[in-house]
Amino acid sequence: MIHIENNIYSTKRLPVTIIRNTPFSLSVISFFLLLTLNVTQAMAKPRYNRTVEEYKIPDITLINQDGERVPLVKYLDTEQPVILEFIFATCTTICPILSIGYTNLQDQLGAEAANLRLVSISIDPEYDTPEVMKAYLQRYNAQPGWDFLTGSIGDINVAMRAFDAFVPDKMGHRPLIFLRSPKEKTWVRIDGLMSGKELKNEYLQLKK
Amino acid sequence: MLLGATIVQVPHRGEENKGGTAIKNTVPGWKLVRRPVSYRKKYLYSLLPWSFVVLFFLSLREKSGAVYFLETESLQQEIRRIVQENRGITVAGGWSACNGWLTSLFLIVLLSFAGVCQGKEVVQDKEEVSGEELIALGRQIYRQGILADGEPVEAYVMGDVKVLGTQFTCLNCHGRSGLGGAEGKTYTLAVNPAALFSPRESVYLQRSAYDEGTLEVAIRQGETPEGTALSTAMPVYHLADREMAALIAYLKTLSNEFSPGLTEEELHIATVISDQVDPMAEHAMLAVMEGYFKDKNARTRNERKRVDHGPFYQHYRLKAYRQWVLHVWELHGPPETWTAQLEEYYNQQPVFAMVAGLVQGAWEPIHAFCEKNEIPNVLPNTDWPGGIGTDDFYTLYFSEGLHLESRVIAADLVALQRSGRVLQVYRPGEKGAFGASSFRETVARIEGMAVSDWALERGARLNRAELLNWVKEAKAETVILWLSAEELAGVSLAGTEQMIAGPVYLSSSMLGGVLTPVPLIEGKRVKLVHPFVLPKNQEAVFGRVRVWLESRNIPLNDHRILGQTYYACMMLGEGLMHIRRHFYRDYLMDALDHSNAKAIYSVNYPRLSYGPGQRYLAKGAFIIEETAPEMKKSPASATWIVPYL
Repeated sequence: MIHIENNIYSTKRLPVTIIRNTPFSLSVISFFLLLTLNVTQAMAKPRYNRTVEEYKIPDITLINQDGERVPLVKYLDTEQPVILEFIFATCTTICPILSIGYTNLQDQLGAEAANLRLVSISIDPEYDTPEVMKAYLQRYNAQPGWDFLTGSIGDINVAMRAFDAFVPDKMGHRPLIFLRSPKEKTWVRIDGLMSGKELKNEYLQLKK
Repeated sequence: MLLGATIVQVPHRGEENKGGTAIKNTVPGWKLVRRPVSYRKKYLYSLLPWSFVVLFFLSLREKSGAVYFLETESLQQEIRRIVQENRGITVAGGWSACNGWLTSLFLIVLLSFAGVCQGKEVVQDKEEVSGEELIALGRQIYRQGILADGEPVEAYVMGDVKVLGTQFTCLNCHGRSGLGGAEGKTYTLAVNPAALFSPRESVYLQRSAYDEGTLEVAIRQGETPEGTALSTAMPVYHLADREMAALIAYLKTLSNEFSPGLTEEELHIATVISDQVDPMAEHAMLAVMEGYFKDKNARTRNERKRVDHGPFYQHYRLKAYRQWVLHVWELHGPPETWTAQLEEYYNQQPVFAMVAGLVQGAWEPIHAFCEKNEIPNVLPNTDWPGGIGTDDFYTLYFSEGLHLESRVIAADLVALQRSGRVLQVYRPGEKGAFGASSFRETVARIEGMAVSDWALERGARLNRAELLNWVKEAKAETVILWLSAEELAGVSLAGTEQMIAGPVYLSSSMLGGVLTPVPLIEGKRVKLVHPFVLPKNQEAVFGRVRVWLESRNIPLNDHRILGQTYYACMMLGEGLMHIRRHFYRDYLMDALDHSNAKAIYSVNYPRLSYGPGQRYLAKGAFIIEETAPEMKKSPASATWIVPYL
């Protein structure tokens, strides 16, 4: 660990050194380039907790942004990879970042995004009515394949508990992301905010 | 001839940009745009000082005559924007390119050549804008995420995820006050001048004070003055210099001075009472408020003295204590004159916030007054709130009142698949009329539903024969009675099943919020819209305040007003406790937005829920059927409805 940090330190100083002494040899440059790669690897170390869990999907019916009833078990019994998050429309700090992560992933995947099921479940169900959820999805430029679900408080609590994500107060909510590949029945549980690349990598691992 | 150009360079923070400055000084009218980037990116640029020769030729194909540094996508877009803004000759040089004299000279030659070749018209720097305009632009960037030209602000969060200002803005996380907040374990730091421009030495946060330069770096690059990285949850913003100046100018005004209504010793708080309110309700409200204020002041009377008498840890916190002073603003005469009266009161004694309140009629005049003067108004006692459908900020309501109830009725009718004619009975000019107009508005969007209104004359009571006559005339299958217990007294609907095919709705708020046996409420077809705690639980829930009230000799008469007012005072205290010594009104509202944990202490409403920007706490209501007198113990059927309409 200390070794890696030393490397970061030396690259910080790097440009100054090279440029002030212009006729530096290419070999030195490539040497430092190697150091940078090292740093890149160190930085790629995930900032989040990743575990693999088994969850039983509860037999509840939620409501999507179009006001349609969505039986959760049937909805998640799909051949598509699934990514699921708990958010709410007026949330500060965490949900905007989770949601923009969805937007970004759909952008990155392009046409392939249609084969991926992105699910946002509201933890403020009485405020997040279909009307509010629809506006929220539009704001985040959501493409087909991304659904925002609400329901009765009882059902939402059941859903949160099923994913071991229950919080009594929505303001105490954690940045959790759940991913499931079509073949597996297990879920990858991620606790922590991710970069676009990290989320995409997790998604690509699902497909392997 | 080449008249001017923009140089985009990628300098090291704090380094002299000799090359860029040299070019700028050589050719008058040239503008220098500094664009700090991360260490890693800069390292890449420094490897390619020769590449701008290639890029120059690329630029000849560009209409703007720009030389691009085709590096990361974000930088490319940034440069593209700068080019569009300046419409001159733009050169994006590498970090090394702009730092050496020789390369700069080479750039000048290339630029001149480009100028001659393309003869671009150069727009001079935009006119200097006044300070106020700059602040207004900064506010727009902070709150709406929109730039001067109407385009959304562009930023990158978590390192590589693009965010537009239309998706979320500074305000989303830092709050209207800029004092920040927390969600779970994710913290948003304060960005008001007191926080930014002074060093932080807490256990959680250590950094030196920002100045304008380092603040720019923090916003553009995500680095503290020490060069350590900010959380990647804080986006990195791509702002042009003028926009950055605007944002910083706005931040300098954001929660910079304590709000009015405050002295070293006292915190002034007002409540409003109008003519013609129920004397019992008025007495109940004032008794609770006086009792609450007296209690609070008694408990904290010595806190400030502790500052001088002992080595208390963080003694500055004790300086936040103030004596609360209650001002009762009595409004007389017609509502049109209330605004002037409120202004008069406010000029005589500015208050920091308003709490509870009770008026006959709509709350709108007080709502508008608070909005205009930016005064928080915590939980007024009203069924006729203002600001519905707006983004107004300063008044926090228990619910949308009769507007909510009308939407619940409409949702219930849709669920029953009962369209057709609805007859509404109400008394004009009173809150029932507000319920009726809200219902009409709501069902206007529902196909096949038509509404007939019947206005009850002043002083008249409902009469069974007349009602049935109106139903017949209107061919109504559903009836909504926006009437009080008094107006309904003595009317029975027994044996009217043939005449009224659908349900008959009553409003619990109209009946005073507490179920009093009304003879009319018999038979299963009568449905009561009830946004309050179910009757069987009311005794138990009222227990939360009963002992407090009894020990202060406050008569337990109007449970609704007593409970609501107590809760309003409690929430004011909760909010003030959270803002500590940061006496900014916007922060009080931001703090209340995060008070969801206190929702369960409500005495009257089964489900309140707070959230950023949410101004109506109760979002649904029960529909109670089987409203026979014994339902006080346990109604056979009570369904909670959140209207999705």
